[in-house]
Amino acid sequence: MNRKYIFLLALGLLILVLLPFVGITKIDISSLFEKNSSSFIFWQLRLPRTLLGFMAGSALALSGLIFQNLFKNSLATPYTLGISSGASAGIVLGIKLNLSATFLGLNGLVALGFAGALISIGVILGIARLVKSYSIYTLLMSGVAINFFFSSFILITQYLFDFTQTLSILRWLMGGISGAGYGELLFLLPVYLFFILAAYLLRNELIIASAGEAFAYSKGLNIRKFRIIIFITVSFIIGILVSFVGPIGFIGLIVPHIARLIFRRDFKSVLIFTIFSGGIFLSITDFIARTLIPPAEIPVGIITSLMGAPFFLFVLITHLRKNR
Amino acid sequence: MIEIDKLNFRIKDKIILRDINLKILPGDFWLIFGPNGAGKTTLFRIICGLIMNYRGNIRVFSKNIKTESRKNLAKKMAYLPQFDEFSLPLSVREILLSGRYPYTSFFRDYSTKDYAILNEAVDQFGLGDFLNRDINTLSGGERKKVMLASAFIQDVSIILLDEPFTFLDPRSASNLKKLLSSLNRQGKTLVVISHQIETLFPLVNKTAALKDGELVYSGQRKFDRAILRQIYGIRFNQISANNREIIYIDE
Repeated sequence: MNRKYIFLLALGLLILVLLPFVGITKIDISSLFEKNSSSFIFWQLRLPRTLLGFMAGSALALSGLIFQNLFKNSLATPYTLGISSGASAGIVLGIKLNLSATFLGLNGLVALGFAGALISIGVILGIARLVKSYSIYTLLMSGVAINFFFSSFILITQYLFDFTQTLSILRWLMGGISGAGYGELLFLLPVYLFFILAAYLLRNELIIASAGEAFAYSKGLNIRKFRIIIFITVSFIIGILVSFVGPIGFIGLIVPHIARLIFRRDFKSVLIFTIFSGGIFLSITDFIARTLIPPAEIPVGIITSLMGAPFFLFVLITHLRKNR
Repeated sequence: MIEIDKLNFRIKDKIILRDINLKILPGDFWLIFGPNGAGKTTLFRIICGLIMNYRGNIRVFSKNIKTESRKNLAKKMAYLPQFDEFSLPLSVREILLSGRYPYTSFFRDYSTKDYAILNEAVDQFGLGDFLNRDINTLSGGERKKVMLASAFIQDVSIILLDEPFTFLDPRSASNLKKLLSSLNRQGKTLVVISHQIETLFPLVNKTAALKDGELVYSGQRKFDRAILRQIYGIRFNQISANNREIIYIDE
């Protein structure tokens, strides 16, 4: 177990350190601390980008893991349930209404993304309560409906934009971390650290939550209160992430799933692995996105979806076959 | 230790439980029986805090369950629902350890004492080989045993069990029966919902009969053909053989 950990940790760190060095422009290591274009690309473009990719990927994967545990289902993630598209709709509306000004230290777009995510989760929980079922059928069907609704909402809003705005919205909707600077990093860092620390401290609660309401109550966890607090927190995180990097899909599904396959019987390891490899995963896919067809850049959201959609079907099929 | 006072519960216009009064004393072993839909499971779900919008008063160790914290209640009482809801992979160790959750706090994880209690229970229940297994791969009987061990680790005085004998083969059922008797002898108060009257009647010291949301009988165990007939609409009979009382359906 420990050896598995150390190996993965070392591998991840190695990749993180190496990624900013590779790309279309060769980085001259000897002149890294001099003022030239290669060191500018390294320090101002690739390094913040890699770090943002790591934090975003890690937080997305962790959100997925938390959702899976709270819904007791490996297919329930902020993306599949339409939380991300709710956040996107809020943000697109914010761009249209020119609300990018900061308010109380909080970017207006982040606030609207948060609101959109909250609406989605509210609808999902409302439907589940109404039909008294948290089954995969109820959840995914609600998620599909929410996804369609907000996609159309985004399309209408886009339709009303002028052409150049539409193009930049489209780029953002495809998901990308190319525009990352140290400003975003500094904003995200405390939020990110709070999020992973909270998840780690609440790991016992997350284990109990994954065993259902009756179990949680019997063990002394007020799961209804716990669930609401966590859903609001995760919606906030999703709001921030989506406003920064766009609705990048499937990380929250793939990474926790692989983590559970490797560390089936130990949630603490699953948690740590998810946090860590979610970051590595997005950093690597972003690397692929910026080097696959140079000099063009593919939005990273497209890469994760291209890989994620088949994987989602694979998980769905194994899940349905198991529960037949 | 559990006092239920004028408990009423309805969903819209449908009365689920009507004027339930029940006193469960330390060391009791209760069998609660009644036909399907009589309100037995609802009664348990109310006692455990899963349903809150009831009328009446329920006290556990003199504390009102509506105002007492969930963790404090979980130090006194555990509930084993009829169906567990496991679906994600979870190890038996993690489930057992959850029994110590009421004794943790936000910044205090499970302690060495918690692990010692866990190991002790693992020996007593013979779960050594299962510790690292995924709960979803265990059989019905094994799962029941794990859940019971988890309640034991919780160090509660009261354990509520909803239909613990469903889906158990005769051997697992017999093992569970012995386990329940031994827990009761160790001083645990047990309240069991079950249709297995033939199995459980000889074991318990108190019985309660529930029909259409009303308590038809509650108190010292006594074999009463009239009540059983009223409840189930069939005839039960009792004979003695090999110094054991045997209850059977006489139709």
